[in-house]
Amino acid sequence: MFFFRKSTGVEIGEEDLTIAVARSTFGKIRLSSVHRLTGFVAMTDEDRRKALQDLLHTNRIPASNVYLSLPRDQGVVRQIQLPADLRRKLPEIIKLQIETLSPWPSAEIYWDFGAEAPKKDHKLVTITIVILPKTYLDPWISFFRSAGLPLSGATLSSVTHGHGICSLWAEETPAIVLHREDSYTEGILISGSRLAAYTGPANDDGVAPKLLVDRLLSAAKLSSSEGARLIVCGKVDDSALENNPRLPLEAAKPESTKDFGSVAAALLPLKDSAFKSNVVPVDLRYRESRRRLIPAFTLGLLATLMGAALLLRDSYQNSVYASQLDGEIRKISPQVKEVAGQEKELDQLSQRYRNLTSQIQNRDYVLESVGELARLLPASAFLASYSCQDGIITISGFAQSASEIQSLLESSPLFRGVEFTTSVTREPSGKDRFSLKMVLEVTK
Amino acid sequence: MSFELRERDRRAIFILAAASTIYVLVSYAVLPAIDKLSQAPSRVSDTEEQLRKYRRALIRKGHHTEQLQQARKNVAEAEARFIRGDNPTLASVELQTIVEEAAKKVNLDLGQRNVSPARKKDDAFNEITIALALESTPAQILGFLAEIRKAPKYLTVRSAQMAPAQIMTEPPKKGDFMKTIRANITVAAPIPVQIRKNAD
Repeated sequence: MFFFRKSTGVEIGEEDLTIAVARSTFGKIRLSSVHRLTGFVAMTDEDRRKALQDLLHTNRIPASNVYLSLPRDQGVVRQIQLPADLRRKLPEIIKLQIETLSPWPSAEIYWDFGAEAPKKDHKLVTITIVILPKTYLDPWISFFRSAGLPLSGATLSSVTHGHGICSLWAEETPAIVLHREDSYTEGILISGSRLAAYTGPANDDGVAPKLLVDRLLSAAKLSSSEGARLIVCGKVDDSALENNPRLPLEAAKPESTKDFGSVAAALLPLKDSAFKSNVVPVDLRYRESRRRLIPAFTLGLLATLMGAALLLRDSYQNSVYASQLDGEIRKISPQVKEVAGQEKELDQLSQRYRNLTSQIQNRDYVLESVGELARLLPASAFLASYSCQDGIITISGFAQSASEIQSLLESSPLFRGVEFTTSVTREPSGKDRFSLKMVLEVTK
Repeated sequence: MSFELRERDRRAIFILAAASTIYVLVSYAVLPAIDKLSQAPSRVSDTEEQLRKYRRALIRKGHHTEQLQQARKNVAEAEARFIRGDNPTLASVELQTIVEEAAKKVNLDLGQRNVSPARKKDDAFNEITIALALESTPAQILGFLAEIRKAPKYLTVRSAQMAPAQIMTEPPKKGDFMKTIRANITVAAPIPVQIRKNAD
């Protein structure tokens, strides 16, 4: 399972080699680049290798996921229909039939098949089988490996185009691909999971040679090409590409349809379809071990951890330091509790002592007030009552002048707020009858 | 009905599982840990302050023993000036005894007397009072008040009302007049509340 994946599609035409690089990011495919090596087929092996290596080096073409599309005439494609119930046993069933289907002995071929996805109410499933003689494919496997572009897969061009159509357009509209080369035109008609291919002579007169299209329609049992999607690719003028539908790939240009074969080959590892097949035997497929990612992931993880550790270092050290402080506090806590208990007791004792001494100092002043009254009042004054409660003294009596009594009492340091509680009355004896209230001025 | 997991389904399930795992890890492990770590600086300053307080307290450890002894001694001495409040009945008896002895010293005949039960005065003291109704000479009254003040235990006169038995407005022309005073005196004895020995 890959969320980020690159693939390289290689198509070998009559003369040229085209390469398309695609990148899948969470299932969204982007066409990164398209390259063409003109006259590749005519070159010697050494020249091919050098030209290819230069191209790879110059354009930094990824070499990890390379799928090759070979010309249709180098192998055969068969389609058969089998009951859908047998889907799980298809490899065994096809293996049994391969000798019948192959024009070459089974020991001399590579083969693979693609099957359409199971659909409801479909009792039959269409199988597309690709057969390729080893003698055609082995040299390419060796060549590309030596050129630094080891193959992960290979199939025939007609199947590659079918896969491209099914991968790019989900709807089952019939599609015709005309792949033109200098000396021939390969036509492929895809209708659902059915594929018809025919190679006819090159025809410069028309973009869609009528004879070729008629044969394809006949093979596919269709009455007309009306409504079908038509893609012209290969060695054609740019004007011929104007009617091509635009490839639904990110960063795909209108002229990218010219190299539809290599683009479709690049889609082989990225998308599933009824035509997805790979004739390269499993043991010869180039696969990058996922173990190669271990150092990168490990280093990435370590870097992330280190970054996180750097970010959290201060906090962590503080946390450790706080734990040490907690430990220290726990260690001395019993002694501190003892001291706290002592301090609490000391506080209580101090408070109690203050209360006791304060109570003792807060004595009554009855004696002093009576003595002060005896000292202050003139001999002619007579008291009728004396009351002392809560620091308030009330007296009543008779005197020559009540106001003189008030003045005398007010002058005493022991009393303050001396005031009459009732009106002063003159007695028949000629003396004032008074009633005074005063507050003890006590220095505590 | 056959059920087949396609690559897309497997990818979706994998992403769902990975997202769930990340969510659980982040919610229950990473974020709490980060929260805990982010609180570390304030925790350190709090803990440092606490440790500083504890160490200061430890330094004072030796001083408190002497201070405690002195404080206990002071309190015991101060408490000795008060009537003990362990037993309210005994305290009441002691108050009456002191008052009677003070009266006896000045040849004062105590008439009606009324002793109240112990009442809470404040958090530190309860109080018992004895209300006296007297009839005597001024010298006896003052002598009685002086004796109360000199009593071995701390007593205080809460209230005093005095009035002459015979109200005069001027000295008699001949002879002496009756110097009898009627007095209502309330003497109070504060009783320290005993400190409860708690388990701290």
